[in-house]
Amino acid sequence: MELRDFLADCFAFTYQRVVTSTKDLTPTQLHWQPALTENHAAFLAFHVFRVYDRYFHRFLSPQGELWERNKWSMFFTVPTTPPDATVFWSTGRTWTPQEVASFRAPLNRLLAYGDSVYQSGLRKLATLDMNNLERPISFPAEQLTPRIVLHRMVAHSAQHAGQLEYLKGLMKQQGVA
Amino acid sequence: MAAVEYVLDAMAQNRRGLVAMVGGLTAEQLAWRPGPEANQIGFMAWHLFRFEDDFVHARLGGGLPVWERDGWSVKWPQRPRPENTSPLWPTGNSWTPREVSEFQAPPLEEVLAYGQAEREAAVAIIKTLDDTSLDQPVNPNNPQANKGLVLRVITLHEAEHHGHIEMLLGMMRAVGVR
Repeated sequence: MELRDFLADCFAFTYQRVVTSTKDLTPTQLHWQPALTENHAAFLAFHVFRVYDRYFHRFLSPQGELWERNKWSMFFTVPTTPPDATVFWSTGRTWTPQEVASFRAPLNRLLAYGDSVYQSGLRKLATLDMNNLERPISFPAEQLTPRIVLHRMVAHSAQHAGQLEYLKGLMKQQGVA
Repeated sequence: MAAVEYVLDAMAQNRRGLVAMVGGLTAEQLAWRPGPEANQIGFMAWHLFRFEDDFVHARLGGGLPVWERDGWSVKWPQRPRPENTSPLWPTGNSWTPREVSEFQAPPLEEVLAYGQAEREAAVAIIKTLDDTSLDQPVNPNNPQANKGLVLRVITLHEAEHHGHIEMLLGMMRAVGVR
């Protein structure tokens, strides 16, 4: 088993966990927060998909993020970009609890965006040069290499998949329907 | 880059993150649960180490888990494994909410010391693998289960529990658990 196959397996597994944890949620469950400071399921799934999109289509290939190219933002209620937002903000990173709480996503669009990013990402992975993972990636805000990007994508999506499952368990216990 | 090299790198990064998250927690924070059926951080940290120890030794070979080899099982005796449960039950896998609630976590520094010992043993075993060997089956009854799958489970399992712990830490901050 080569690294490419191992990574594809990791992505498939975590992506499916995110989808499985969200696909049957009601709009109330999708936007339920266990505390005012905590993320809801719609935000967590959105954030995982946005990070996939950025990493696959901006850091690992030059084609540009699907979010912008295909104008996905028109289907979601996204908070207004703050004037001091960094380049990370549009993926959901560093959002305030108020910004998270105001985010709304129709489930079908959320899953369609995720599917689009995931399928395209796998195609990028299939052509990635696995013998050149230490080359610097041109991104002024951070020092990145393909190795760092791949590791972060796997770990990040698995962490949030874990949170989605925990959140789903809490909703079940508290009778959120 | 070889898959095994990537896995070892990912494991090291995951573990650094875990120790940084739980290292300074109080006994109250380690035991806090947001609901009667939710897992507490103290249980999850112990479970992560126990799972990796048993799973790597059982699936990839290498003799007794550190839990038994180094006498941790005597130091922290557990109840016997109930009938009709998974062989991984002693690691905290598939425990009922009641079993989790009754779990008495050993002192954190001892749990972390066990974690370090089991990790060193797991890394030594994984370092004997190469990418070709990852296609070898580990379960004759399930040809889909190969050594590569074992490494995927090890890599993702710890990251998923990071997510749980991070969420619990956020909830504790919100309600002022110190």
